[in-house]
Amino acid sequence: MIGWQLVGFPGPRMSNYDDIDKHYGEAFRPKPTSLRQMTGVDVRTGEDEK
Amino acid sequence: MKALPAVDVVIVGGGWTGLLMAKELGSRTALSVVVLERGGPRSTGDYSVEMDELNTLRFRMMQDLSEETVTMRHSSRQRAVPLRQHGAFLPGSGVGGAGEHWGGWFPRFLPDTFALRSRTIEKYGPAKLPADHSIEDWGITYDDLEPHYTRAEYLVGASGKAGNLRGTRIEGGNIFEGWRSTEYPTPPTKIPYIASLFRDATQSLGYHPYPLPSATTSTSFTNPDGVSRPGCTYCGFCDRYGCMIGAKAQPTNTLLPVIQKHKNVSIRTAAWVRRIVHSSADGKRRVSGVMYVDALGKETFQPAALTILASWTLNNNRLLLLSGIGEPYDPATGKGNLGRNLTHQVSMSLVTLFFEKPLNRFMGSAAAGIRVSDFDGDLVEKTQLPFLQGGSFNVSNLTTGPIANFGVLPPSVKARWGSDWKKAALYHYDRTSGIRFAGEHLAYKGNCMDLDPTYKDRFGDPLLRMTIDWRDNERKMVEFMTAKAVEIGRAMGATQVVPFPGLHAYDTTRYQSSHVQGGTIVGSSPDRSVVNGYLQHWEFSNLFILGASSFPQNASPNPTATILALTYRTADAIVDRYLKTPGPLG
Repeated sequence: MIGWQLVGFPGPRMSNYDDIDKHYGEAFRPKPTSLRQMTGVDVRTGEDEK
Repeated sequence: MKALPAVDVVIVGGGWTGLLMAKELGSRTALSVVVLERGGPRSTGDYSVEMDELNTLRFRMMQDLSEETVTMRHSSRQRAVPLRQHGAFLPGSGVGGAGEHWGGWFPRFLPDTFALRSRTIEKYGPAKLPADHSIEDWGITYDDLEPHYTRAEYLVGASGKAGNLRGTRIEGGNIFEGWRSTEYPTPPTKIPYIASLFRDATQSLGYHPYPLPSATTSTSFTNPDGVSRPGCTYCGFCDRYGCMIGAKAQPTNTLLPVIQKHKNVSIRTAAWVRRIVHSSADGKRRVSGVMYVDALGKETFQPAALTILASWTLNNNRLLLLSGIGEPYDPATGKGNLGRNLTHQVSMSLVTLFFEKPLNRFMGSAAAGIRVSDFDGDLVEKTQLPFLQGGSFNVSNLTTGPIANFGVLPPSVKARWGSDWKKAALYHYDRTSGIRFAGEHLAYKGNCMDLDPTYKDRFGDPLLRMTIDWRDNERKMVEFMTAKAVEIGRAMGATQVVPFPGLHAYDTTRYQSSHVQGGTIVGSSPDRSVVNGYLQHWEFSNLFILGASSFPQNASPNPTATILALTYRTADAIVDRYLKTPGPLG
């Protein structure tokens, strides 16, 4: 995740709806945002859960 | 071999076309319908934990090439070799097929597409056609398809802006499109910064940019089947991923919710169809069902009154060839139709653009962008140009993951390793983009499909062999369009513009698109086609063949809207006509 952020890629974000057309021409480097953080709902986490 | 009880309809393939047909037949009739899908089940919930670029780089949603692949050669003088890695195209596997990992571009074809051969001869004379072409008219028209295009757009909740509403041209939409009876069901998506640069630049050059038609909804939408999907959140994990919220229309989020309500439709996964079973008696040719291998490896016969072949283009062709249905095409003699007119799409980034300002490429969806169609089809007069047809320019944030896209550097950076390289790579990662081109690939006599004489799949059946190469028409078109893209890139403010090096031999290692067409082509005569205008096999009236294998040649726009429109038209023909009087519809 740190490596991704170093190159300007924030990692998975549930939504960029409010930002996609707000930061034209300027760097926007938000933190990763999970489904759980956005919705407060637990989601299945796949193989790690086992 | 185990024989199952007969059903009314068996559908081979659980992607867009197979499931749309299952939905239509399940909703409008009481027929028993079975869909056979060789991959596994899928649902939207699966995708919320798969936003990981490694999943796409490992092709986890694609066909497993260790079980079945294709062989490829450039001409009949060569020996074909098997493709052991995904490259030029990405066939899907599992319920939903490639419709789960697609980008969602949803343009219609231009009206002239459907009469390419006759219109070109009428306008330019036969000498303008390439020497070894095998271009055909479709035998159906844009007007035939228009109502079904509309149904397809409402099915997926397409976003966009009309440019030709019942003949009235509307600025801001695609003013070159054929007439449409309605506006798009949802407004255009938001667009990322790079697409805004492209829009402004092309406008300043006198072109007509418009929002890319998309099967990703821009707002919440409930389709005529009562299926609701949310608007796009521009998370950036789009093409090559399943959409985690279902904003991008996929068979699993658009068709499955309806199919699951109908007890007369069932979907069997891990069902690998190997043969279409048929017979000839009393002068009548009939398909009696399909033979497949189930999850336990048991050969199973599923009898059915009606068989619908709805797998991907290459697999449709291979199943028919393996089953001995139709006369295989022989490029040396021109005899036979099955396997002829193999086409792909002339698709690439025509320029790589380097900017001073960051682009925030991680935000967007594959189809949230801007398109320019001023050079599509025959919109530019070709009398003085050395090629036929054309294509469109497109800009969106497409496949921008940091693993696959890191380290693309402009020619001004001389370092190839070390700290200077790292510094430059970090600087340019989010300052690099391109202009994608979607261009037309004409049909040629030498580009075709047959069964490979050497290589086999995991069951010992021959692989499909593709014989395909570009011709001068495509090469000269790309040369012309690259010069236009360079001009546009400079107008966008790019500090460095690197043009595409040119189209040479067909390259299986460079991803182009998964838009492969032909082999079971549609037409108005059995002498020159495999299926009639309702996608019904000319010789076997209880066999219908769906999908892009029916396209006589590629048309530059992405094909899914047309594929779904054709499927709707076929479903109507089956329900309204065939079931009442089974037999040839053409």
